[in-house]
Amino acid sequence: MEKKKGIKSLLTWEMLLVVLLIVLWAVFSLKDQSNIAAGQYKKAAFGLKQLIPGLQPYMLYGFMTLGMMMVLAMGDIDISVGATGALSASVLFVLYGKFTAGGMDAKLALALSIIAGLVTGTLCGTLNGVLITKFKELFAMIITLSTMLFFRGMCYLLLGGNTLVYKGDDVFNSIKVLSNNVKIAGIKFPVILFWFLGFAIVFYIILHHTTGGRKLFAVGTNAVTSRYSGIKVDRIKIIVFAVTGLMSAVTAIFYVASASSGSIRADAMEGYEMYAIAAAVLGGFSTDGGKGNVIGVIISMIIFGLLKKGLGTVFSLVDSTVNLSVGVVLILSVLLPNIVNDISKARKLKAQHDAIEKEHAQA
Amino acid sequence: MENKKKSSLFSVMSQYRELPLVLIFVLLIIVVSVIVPGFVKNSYINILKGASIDLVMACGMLCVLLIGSIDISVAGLLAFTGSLTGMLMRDGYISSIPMMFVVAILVGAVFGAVSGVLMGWGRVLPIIATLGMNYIARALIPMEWLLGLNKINPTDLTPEFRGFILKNFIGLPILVWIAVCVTLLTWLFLRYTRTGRNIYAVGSNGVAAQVRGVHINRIKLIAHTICGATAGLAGVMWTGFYNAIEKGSATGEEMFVIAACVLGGVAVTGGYGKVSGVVIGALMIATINSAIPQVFISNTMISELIKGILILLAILLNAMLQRMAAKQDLLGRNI
Amino acid sequence: MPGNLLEMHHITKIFPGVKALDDVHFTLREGEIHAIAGENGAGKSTFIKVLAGVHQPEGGEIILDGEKVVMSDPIVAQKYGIAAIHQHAASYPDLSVAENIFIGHEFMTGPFINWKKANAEAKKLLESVGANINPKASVGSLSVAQQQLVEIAKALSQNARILIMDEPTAALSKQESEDLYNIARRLRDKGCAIILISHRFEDIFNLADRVTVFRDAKYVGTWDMEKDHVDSAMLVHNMVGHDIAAYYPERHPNIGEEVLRVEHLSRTGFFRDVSLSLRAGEIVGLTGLVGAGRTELAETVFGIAQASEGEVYMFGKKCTNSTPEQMMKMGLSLLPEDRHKQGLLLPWSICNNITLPVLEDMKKGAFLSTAKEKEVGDKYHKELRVRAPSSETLADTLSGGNQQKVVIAKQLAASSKIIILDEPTKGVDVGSKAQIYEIMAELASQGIAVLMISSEMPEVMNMSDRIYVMSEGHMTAEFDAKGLTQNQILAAAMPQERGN
Repeated sequence: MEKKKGIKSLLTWEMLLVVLLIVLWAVFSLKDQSNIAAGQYKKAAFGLKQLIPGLQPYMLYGFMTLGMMMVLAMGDIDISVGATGALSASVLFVLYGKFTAGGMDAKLALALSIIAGLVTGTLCGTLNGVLITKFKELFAMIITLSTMLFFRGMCYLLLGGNTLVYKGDDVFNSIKVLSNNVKIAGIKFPVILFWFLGFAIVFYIILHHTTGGRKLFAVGTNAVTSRYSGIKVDRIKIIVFAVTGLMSAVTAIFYVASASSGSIRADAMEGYEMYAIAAAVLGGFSTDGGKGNVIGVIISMIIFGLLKKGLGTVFSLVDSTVNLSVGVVLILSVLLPNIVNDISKARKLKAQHDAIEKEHAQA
Repeated sequence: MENKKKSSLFSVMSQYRELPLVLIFVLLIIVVSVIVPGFVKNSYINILKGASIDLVMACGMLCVLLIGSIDISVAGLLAFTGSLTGMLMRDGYISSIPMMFVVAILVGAVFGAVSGVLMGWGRVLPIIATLGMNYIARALIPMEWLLGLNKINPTDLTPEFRGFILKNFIGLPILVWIAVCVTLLTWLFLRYTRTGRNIYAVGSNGVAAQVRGVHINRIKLIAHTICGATAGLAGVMWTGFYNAIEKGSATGEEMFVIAACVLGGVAVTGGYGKVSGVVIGALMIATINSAIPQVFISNTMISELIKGILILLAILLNAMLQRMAAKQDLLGRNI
Repeated sequence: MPGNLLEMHHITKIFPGVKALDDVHFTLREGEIHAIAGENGAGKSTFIKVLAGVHQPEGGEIILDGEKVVMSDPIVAQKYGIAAIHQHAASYPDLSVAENIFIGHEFMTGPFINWKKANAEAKKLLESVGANINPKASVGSLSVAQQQLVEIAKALSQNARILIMDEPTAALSKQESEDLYNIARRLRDKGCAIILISHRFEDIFNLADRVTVFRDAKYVGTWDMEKDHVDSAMLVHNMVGHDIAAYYPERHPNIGEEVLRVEHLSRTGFFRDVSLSLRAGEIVGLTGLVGAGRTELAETVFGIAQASEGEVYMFGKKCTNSTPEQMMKMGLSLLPEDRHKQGLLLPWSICNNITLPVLEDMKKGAFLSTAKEKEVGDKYHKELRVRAPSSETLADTLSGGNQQKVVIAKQLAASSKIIILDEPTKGVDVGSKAQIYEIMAELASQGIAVLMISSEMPEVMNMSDRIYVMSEGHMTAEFDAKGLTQNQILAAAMPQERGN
């Protein structure tokens, strides 16, 4: 929040993330080169050409992460984002089927069911927000754990145990434009990347340059002080959870667009909340609240995409290695700054101490 | 007169926060028994079996919640320890049943201890530390260099082990007896030992405990080690119960464990919670699980929804009753 | 002449940004009651925390029985026989009375705690301090006074050689205080040395053999109560260090219309049937013992908590149970009691703290304007003479007094017409204190109505035009400040004897 001067401004969390990004890049590139030298591959498997389209799967979590990031900045947590997304997607699928079966124009049906999906997500989020503000003694953690079960149950109710498919439906599958790539300067850019950046910029402006964003951070830093300062804490909480629900629904739409052959199951998007939390925390948002910068989250999304791509293609490691690294990165990204902090605090106190010793010696 | 009676009920409630839950539980059983005659008689063994694994983990979770922390890695630990001991049995390293339990409990305890150290000395927030540990535990299962497992099948387990956990012993399956033992031990530990009382003290007023010279980090470490150990034990119970375990086993089970504690009146902020409450919380969830298919003609899809709704409602209802009790407390001050 | 049991020399303690103790001395003889006097923020609490091993001093030495010791940790201090009755934050609300008393030195049967014995012994101890409390009740369900008695029983249970009493009578009735005096004298006669910290001169004159005065984290002196003929004028002079007349600003109250009226306000469990009024340009003191319901009253008027009965009127308009933001918009603001937890965002800059209540005015178009914020921040930074390099300085690096000025600046930035100040000089150094008094006087002269909640008698009596006194949730008296004596206030503040 504060502008530090001089060299200290280089030591922000975002700068450290950039350094981490560069280091990872270097490691993967070197390994890639040695792979080629060893004759394992004929051509480079790791470069901008491969990396940028490779960001696609990770960007999916990005929308949710933007929501999660706000919730964390407020000092809360939302475990239900994955289930919210799944419910939004389920509503979208089921309504589309119902509308077209009722003889509605397919394009109109698609548009309406997308809107219905977004509304569903927002309503889920609002429900979370209202329950959290009404039952403060239960905390966001417990409330969203329970609503997660509830939303997931709704998915099962809507879809049954089946996979709902619109394989040959051209109109429905037109939604796939969202998962296309655009070629710029010979590199395939996934459309989703631009959407994510667009949303991220909007969130950046809201969080860091409007009164609403400032109040959000104030609530996360200390909700009691905020209340004594005349901030409508409950209202802000409800809005943030509603927006988080909306972002889960946005994720759901991109999920539908990128899911193979237009299908969905009730257990879709399971575990997404973990990815969202991990990305937001690496991006510099603490579950303690009051901290974080959207730019950090953008970089952390890229780092995770890079990690997945690099570990997968260059080191040919399996998916669970990526999960393992997410877990380790998550813990280290909190642990290391704490350790650094402890050391610098101890130094500061020692300096003060020494100054006093000196004073005493002179006296 | 009626008014007075009501108020005394609530004032009792403010003393015993488990009471509202007992009321909800009794109500639930009555409703189900009316719809399904003979429900309790026919299903009590199933309810106890269903509650056992969650109850064992809930005892560990109670210790953690009491210090104001939380552990959402218990289901991941369950899957890891279950798979690890399963593999050790498959490859012939372990053949005795007690050894299975010892190894699982130790491995679970180590994981719990790591979380505890991260939170205590590393000041990583509980939710982040255990979220990370959950990832790590599950991701380790299929690792080529470690377990390289996808699934433990019944044929991987020795015949003695396969039947062991559901064997009857004085009228109840051994599975249930394990849960009973863990519950009693937890009660004894929390109620009658200094360390157990310090767990309450740290959660009730951490600053005061520190001023008194309690090492908060050590208490955190102990609580999380216990929680990890119970999750490890639950891993073997799971393998024994289903005769199989895989990397995706028990996904989301941590929710039910935490829900059992919250339903049991355990304060998420720490300091308050009783083993008796947790027992009722776990039984209640098992009852809901067991009653749904009988009441709603076994449509599993609807049952998922109803389970979600019932648990949410029970938690909210419990919170509202607690509030009424607290209000009664204030009225009792006579100001 | 008995020898010195305890000597403490050159004790210095630093907290980030402040010296809490600066080269302080203290000696304690066997079998004496030694009072430590000083205003809020003089360093008394830090001092006893150093002795009890809670804080490690940066400099100085502690000599016990002629040997140098290090109180590296509270357990070490306990082993040396030091026990403390802490003012707050020492009890476990969720645990039972018996457990609170014996925690740390429980009765054990093998590896297990013997609860039966603990309950029986607790009952005995409580009876010895004249309290009839169920040892199995949870401490959170007790009143503040009962909790204080439990704390005393806890200290007694440790059979200490040195007993520290930090504001032991803050919430006690007259009879309970008398009982406590008797207990203290009995302990002294048994050879226990007692360190007494109290706001109430009455306690000091009744009990103490010697008194040591601290001021602004520094040692002022030690006197023998009898030989040196210590009286309250001399104590006050040493505690304050100024002439009282120069300490409090001269005021020419220009009192206007009534701006705030509270009628028969109640909040279940905290206060009942409280009425008060406040006029423009007036400073009104609201005092009473700890736990009398003053803070809860202020919170309810401000809208943080809901009233169960009664009405609040502002400028003649009814505004009972409005939200804090509505109250602030109408011109009332509250400086809360705990500036760390309720008043400030500690990791934020001075400037960002000040603009928090007025963020909507800091907009340029749709966006937040840092320039506008800086303007407001700089203005108050200068006007209130906040000692910090710039308005960009973070709040948690400031001293208590300067932090309090920032919280006051928040209320000023919100251009309030009515300001409620809850313990505005708690934990504030003498210099800042005088400045805060000046600011209050200045506000009143601008026609702002000030309601000051305070336990410090001198400031209540010297700053207020009128004084309200609360006791056990009721408004017990309203005085004109002119010609009022401290005893009149105390008489109204003391609870009626509790029927135990």
